[in-house]
Parts: sequence; C-alpha cells; structure tokens
Amino acid sequence: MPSTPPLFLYSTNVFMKFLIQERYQKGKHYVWCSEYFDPTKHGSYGGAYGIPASSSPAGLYLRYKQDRGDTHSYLINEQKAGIKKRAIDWFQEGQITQADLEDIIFMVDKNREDDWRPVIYVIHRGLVEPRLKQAPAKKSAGTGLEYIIEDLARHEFDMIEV
Amino acid sequence: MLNTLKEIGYNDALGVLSELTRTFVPQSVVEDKEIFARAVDFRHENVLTEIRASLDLAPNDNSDEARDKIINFISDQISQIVLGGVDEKVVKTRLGNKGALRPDLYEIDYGPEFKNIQDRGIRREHVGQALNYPDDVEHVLPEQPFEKNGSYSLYVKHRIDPDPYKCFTLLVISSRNGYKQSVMDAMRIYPTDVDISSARNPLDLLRAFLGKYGQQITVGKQTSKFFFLAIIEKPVVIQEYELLHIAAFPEGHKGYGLMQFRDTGPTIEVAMAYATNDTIYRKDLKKHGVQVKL
Repeated sequence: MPSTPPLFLYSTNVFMKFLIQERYQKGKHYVWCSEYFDPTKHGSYGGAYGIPASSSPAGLYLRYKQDRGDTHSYLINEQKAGIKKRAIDWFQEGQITQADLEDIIFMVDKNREDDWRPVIYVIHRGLVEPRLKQAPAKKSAGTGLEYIIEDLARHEFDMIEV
Repeated sequence: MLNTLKEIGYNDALGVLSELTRTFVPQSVVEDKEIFARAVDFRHENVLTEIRASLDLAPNDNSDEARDKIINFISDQISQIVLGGVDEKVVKTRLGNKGALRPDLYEIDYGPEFKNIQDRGIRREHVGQALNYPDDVEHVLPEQPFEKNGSYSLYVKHRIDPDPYKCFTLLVISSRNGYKQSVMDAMRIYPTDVDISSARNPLDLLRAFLGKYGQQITVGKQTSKFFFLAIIEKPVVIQEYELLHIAAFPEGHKGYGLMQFRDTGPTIEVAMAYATNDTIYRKDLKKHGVQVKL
C-alpha cells in the first residue's frame, strides 16, 4: 500500500530573508524545503536517511542559532550575500527600484543580530503540491529528497521559532 | 572599489558581482531562476583574480576560509557600488517612513510634553530602552488621508517579576517622520489593574488601557474612548468645540492624552484621539510603588 506523503514541509530561513521577501516581493517566498524536519528522528529507511543532519531544517536551525551574534559566521555571511544578490537580480529585472535596492543593501548591512535569527516555515503541503519542484540532486547537500517552492505565499505556511 | 569593476558600468558591475555570488554561495541560499542567469565572461575572471589578489589568496585556494573571505569581499563591493555616494539620511528617511529602520537608528525627540510622562514615574532611559530594544513594535503605515499625520509607532517592553504585582508592560507611542520619532505618550500597564488577556498587539494594549482609564470622547455624532484613523461625518456645527468633545473629568481630576484631528469641511479626520484620567491612573501607579507626581 503506497505511503501517504507527509502533511507538512519544513524550511529553515533567517528572519531578515522573510522581511525582505514580504516587503519587496509582495509576500512571495522562494524556499528550499524538506519533508523531514529532523532526519535523525527517523529510521535508516526511507527518504530521511539521505538528508545530512547538518543541512536538515533542524540542523540548520541549530547552526544559525549557535552562530547568532557571531559576525564571522559564514552561514550568516552567506545569507547576507544571498540577499544582496537577489536584490540585484530583482533590480535588473525591473521588479524593484533603485531606491528599494539601496534600502535592502542598507538593511542587510545595518540591521541587528536579532534579524538574522533562524525561523522555521511549516508549509501546508496540500496548498503547494502542484508547485513543488524537486531540488537538483547535484546541488543538494545529500541524496535525500528536497524541494523548491519559488512562490510560497504567506498564507501557505506558519512561521515558528523554538 | 575594485579597479576591474570601475572599468565597467554600474549595471554590469552589479551583474558580475551577482554571478560571482552565485558561484560561491550554496544553491539553497540564492535563487537560481533561469531568468537571472547571465553570460559568464572574462570580466568575471578578471574581477575574481583581483579579489584573490586583494585578499592574498592563491588562485587555487578553495578552502572554506578562502570562500568565506571572498563572499564577504563581494558583499562589501556590492555595498560600495550601491550605496557609495548615496546620502545615508535619504535612505534612513525612506526606511523610517516605512517603519523598516533598525530601531536604534531613529532619532528620538522627547519634546516638552515629556514632562507629563515623567510625572508618571517614567524616565527617559525607560522609554529609550523600549524604543531601541522593544519586545514588540507595531508601526502604523497609514494610507491617505492620514499618510502625513498618522505614522504612529507603538513599542512594548515587558517587565517580568516573580511578584505579579510588580509585573507591567511599558507602552510607548511615538509619531514617526522619516528617521525621527517624537515620543507622544508612555504608560505602564499593570495586568493586575488592566485586563490585557485578549490583547494581541500593542494597539490592543492601548485599547485595553483606555478601557480602564480613558474618558469618553465625542466626535461628530460618535462617542468612544479611542478614535484611530477615523473619518467622521461632520454634523452642522455651531461651535468649534463640538468637533471633538471630551466628557467632563470629575472635579479636581486631570487628564492627558492625544488629540490629532483635522476639520476638512464635510468630515472630521481623526488620526488619533484619546484622553486618560491621569489622576486615577497615577493613584493606581502609586499603589505599585511607582514614584509619581499626584
């Protein structure tokens, strides 16, 4: 009997990314997500097995939390660079203005450590199933299944912190 | 700025830095939509070569440490290109108006009315802490016709104590104008005095507070303890005081509140209006050991 896919998908992000997407992308979020929040809690069989603990939503959440306040955290530096890159792309595609680009870069450079805290998106799978794209295997951290949602809307997920 | 970036235009420089970021930052952190893909050419190599030279990194150093240095360098270059020559105050004004500015980057104006707040036993340091490090904040982003005079921010700072009688929430109301904030009012709200069990945000807290200490106000034909971003039809008015009328305080009692409204002719636009019976409120504060001026 085929198993039922899990009801929820999980994605760990930083709060700053949430703020930027809400404000400058009309509340549409680009996320990587997984069926398993913490693969170490599942057995050695099934999709959870191929997801490295350190890059699972739970693993990432713990790493971001540990790194908060560390100005040398490479995880947070990656996030900063990633947000700036996205802002450039949006600007060059005409999705945001020059003023918006300046504002985003300023916020990334100036905002406090609290804005880089990790948050978990708990995504209602039923609302997004048709739009799930399997993440490219070569760009995933492991062999476990991960998905990309390019246009996750605010009402399609709960955001929590633990 | 890198010399190799100075040689190319603004947009091209940003495009090169965007592509280089994609090279070094994990896929899961950057969006990899096809519409954002750019042709990689010799300029990317030139810029990367100059970055490595600036950081004293060997061309074949692909260690995590090297990668992190390169990412930070690219990030800094983006900031230099985008924000170089931009007046920081202009950016802060925009962000301040949106309520998106980092809390401690707002300039705070305490104004002459702050004395009333001090008489409630609230010091500047308390208000400063609430504004800079709030536990919760609600930035009102009003639409027309309140865009200019309805930009309020409500800040909350909780004080937790094992003794429930000493627990309170400090609520601060300010008016934003760009990156400047004027403190309009501040009050300590004790849950042993005010039922805040159904408050879900700072505005709810204010309503709960006024439910206990507010005076009835009549605007036009409407009466309430709190008016907020309201447009009210103006009846035929004989005297100006009939535009907005506060119910009489008991003899000897003093009030304090905010009254920001405008007569447009056919309507009364009320950005915010409330009046607190400050005498009763201060007596309650005194019971909690607060040094107030009665």
